[in-house]
Amino acid sequence: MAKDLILRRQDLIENPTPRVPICLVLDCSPSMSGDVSCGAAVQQTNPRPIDELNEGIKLLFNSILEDEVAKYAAEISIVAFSEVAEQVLDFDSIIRVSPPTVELEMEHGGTSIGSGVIKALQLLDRRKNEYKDAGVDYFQPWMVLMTDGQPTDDTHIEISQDVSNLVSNKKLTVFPIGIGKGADMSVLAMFSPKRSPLRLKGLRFKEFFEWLSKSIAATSRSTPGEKVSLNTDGIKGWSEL
Amino acid sequence: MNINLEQLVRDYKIFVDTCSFMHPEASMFFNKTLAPMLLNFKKKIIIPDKVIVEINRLQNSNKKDTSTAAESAAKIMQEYQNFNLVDVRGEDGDPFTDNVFHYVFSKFRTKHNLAIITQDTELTKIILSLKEAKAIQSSKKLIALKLDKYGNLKEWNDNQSFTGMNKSYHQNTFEKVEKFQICSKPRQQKDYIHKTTKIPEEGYYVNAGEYGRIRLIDKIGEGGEGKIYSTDSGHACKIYLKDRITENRFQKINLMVGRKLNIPGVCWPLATINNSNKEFVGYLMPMANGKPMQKCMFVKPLLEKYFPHWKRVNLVNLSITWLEKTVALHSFNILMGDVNPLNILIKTDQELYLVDTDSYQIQDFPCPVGMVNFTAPEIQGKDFATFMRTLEHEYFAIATLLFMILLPGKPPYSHQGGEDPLDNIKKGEFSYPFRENTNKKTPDGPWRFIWSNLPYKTKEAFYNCFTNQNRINAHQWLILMKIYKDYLEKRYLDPDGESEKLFPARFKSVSTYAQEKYDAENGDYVNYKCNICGKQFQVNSRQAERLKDIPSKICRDCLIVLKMKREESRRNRNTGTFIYCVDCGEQFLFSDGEKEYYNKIGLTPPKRCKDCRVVHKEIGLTYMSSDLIYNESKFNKRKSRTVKPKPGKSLLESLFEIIFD
Repeated sequence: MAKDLILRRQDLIENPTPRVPICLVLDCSPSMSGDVSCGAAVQQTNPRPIDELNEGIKLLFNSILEDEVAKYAAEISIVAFSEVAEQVLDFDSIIRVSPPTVELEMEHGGTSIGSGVIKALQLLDRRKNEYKDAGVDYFQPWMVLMTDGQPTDDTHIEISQDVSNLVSNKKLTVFPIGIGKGADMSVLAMFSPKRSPLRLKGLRFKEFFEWLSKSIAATSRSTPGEKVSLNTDGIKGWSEL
Repeated sequence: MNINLEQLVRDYKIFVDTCSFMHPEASMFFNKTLAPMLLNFKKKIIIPDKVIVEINRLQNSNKKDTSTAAESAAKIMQEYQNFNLVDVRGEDGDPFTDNVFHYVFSKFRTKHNLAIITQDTELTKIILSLKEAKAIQSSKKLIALKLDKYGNLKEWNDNQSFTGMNKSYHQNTFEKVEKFQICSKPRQQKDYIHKTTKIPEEGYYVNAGEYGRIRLIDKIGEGGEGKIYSTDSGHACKIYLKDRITENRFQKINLMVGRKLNIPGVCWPLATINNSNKEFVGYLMPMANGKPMQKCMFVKPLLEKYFPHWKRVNLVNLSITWLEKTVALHSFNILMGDVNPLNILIKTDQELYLVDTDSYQIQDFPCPVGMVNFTAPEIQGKDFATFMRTLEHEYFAIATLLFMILLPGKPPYSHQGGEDPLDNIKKGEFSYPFRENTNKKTPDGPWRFIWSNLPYKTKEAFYNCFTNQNRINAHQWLILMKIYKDYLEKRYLDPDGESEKLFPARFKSVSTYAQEKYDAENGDYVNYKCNICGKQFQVNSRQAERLKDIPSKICRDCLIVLKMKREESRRNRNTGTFIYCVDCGEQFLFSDGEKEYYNKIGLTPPKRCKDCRVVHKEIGLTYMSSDLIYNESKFNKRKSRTVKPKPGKSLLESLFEIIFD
């Protein structure tokens, strides 16, 4: 563990590439099994939404690794939430980690979006401070928020205000994504004062993550503070507004 | 030695090179002397079709002398073709003219007596070298001939030393490229998109002006403006996207194509590309090679992967190579504008390619793009298309790129607690320590070690640029980098060689050189004023003893520069370009060393050879001195002032004709 910390720190100070930190906040509540009996809006168990999601994450990692600039810039962390939030992957250079698998959380049934976001903001904040300490340039972080249902508690009400403020002050970019018909788009909208939440067509995780990796690559070629126009046309293809 | 022309025509196959057709007395020789003889013996001269291509190309030269000479060469060629006195030969895939001659001569060397008429030393050398090929025993003869200044055929002296005279008339034809104007405002004409019917793709044939019809082979790159293809002519070709083909772009590319900038590694537009409907769609350029700087050296693992043997001196070499190109571009009033590690391709530390030159700032065409890191604080956030950048802005970008080469990939303004590079640049918050100044925010890790191991003067230049916006020009950087290189080679920096490492692992310790300097500053020392830079410098008593008897006192830095210059000029003395003397028509060598000197003091290359220069100068002086001289020499003043030497005769000869009946 200590050795790992040293390596992590070494990468932080030796790699001069401005970083693009991205936190994926993912719903792993039972409904992601695609089973109607577990709360899914549409029966869809072969493949299950969670499997498609995991495929998408793998694809995201692999396509970033193929890009010689982006792979030194992108840093991904993953938070999975059901009733509680759990850190699946902490920030690190994408080169040093392999894509993890997000497991369904069948024991606790809830969907606490707020807990997931709180955890994500903690991770992002800590990483930003690490960048600053080492004197590494970074882009304002991205947060990808994905859910297929409705919140089962009120944690999101307060934290969504914080997130909105961060977004308005350009300290954070949020991509709120609803999965399937069951996703509560109005809750997702609370996190995003600028961008309307998007509903994924069917289970097109692949297309989404492909678009995400392209956006990361485009950003990594610019300088922090510079305007990067993300190609939102690409989004229209796989989502419904 | 004059030639028996009759024998030559009868017994030899005669080949003629471009430059002899362009000789001032060419028409005299070819039309009046050679043609009758050829007719008489029913013989022909032989020329490669590349010669015709060359003459056609040179007719469009923007140097008047060259285009005139090429036009007259074309006339001779036409006459020869009319009278069927010339055999034009060529095969597809023929290399450049020189190589064609070499190929043909080595092939037929044992079958025929061969003669070549050329003014080109290098070609002559190549051809005559065939004689020395001992493996081939041949009874056939091989001679090389040239036209002298009177248009008589002479044999090239076999024993003449050709060493070092290695520039040929062909691909490197010396043409003076005019500087671009400096404009203070972007052009006001409204831009509009051309109506283009067809955008060529892989496999298409396109028209590349004097380079003829070429085929696009593979797509080798793609950007926001267009696609890059390899071509069957060995060049690369940029084809714009349909909505990027605008009138201003068309005019800019035309302006660039019109000046044959020949800076090695600068992928300058060579010709405009038209589609089959004769519409402008892109431009032709030299093929680049290597990997973009950002992708091969801006992260340690990539740097180690692509250049595993590199040391610090290679980074310095790379800086020097890039700066040399930059200095050359600036000398033509061209600004790169968008200095950026993605459009510099690295093959080796001495072989770089600058691509995307069509975005350079030229005359009233601004460079419309730029990256935050390379943008000077005073123009941060401005729309690059709306104003002209100045050299000052470019110097900021130069310093930034050099910093990111020497501290591989590290932007100068990253620092601890830093947030947004844009803010840091605007605030001038540079966090690397210089002398007693430090904000204690230097980035962690190897960066502070690298910084520590840089030479003092280099640190000073960076510090002044990034803190006080006191920027030095490309040429000054070039000198600093050469000094850096010299220090590395002499191990002046760190006594244990830590400074020579790509990534030093500790701070610089004090070298003997620095120690001496320190002793001098703190012990008994003598102050001198440098005769070159005028700065005060100190030496210790031991050194002062040595310096005592030397009249000119020169500081250490200037000494190094001087020495490097001397070495360089020694290297450059024997290489250069050939120029035809406008007075006598003889070729003379304009060495690279001379060229550098001329450039430095802002002179255009000489038109006359050394002998004619002396004559020209003396006569020029005579004109300027008192009327007395004119009176005394029975000079017809009016007439003498309008005298213009006929080509082929020296000014002196022309004057003789006027003065003496």
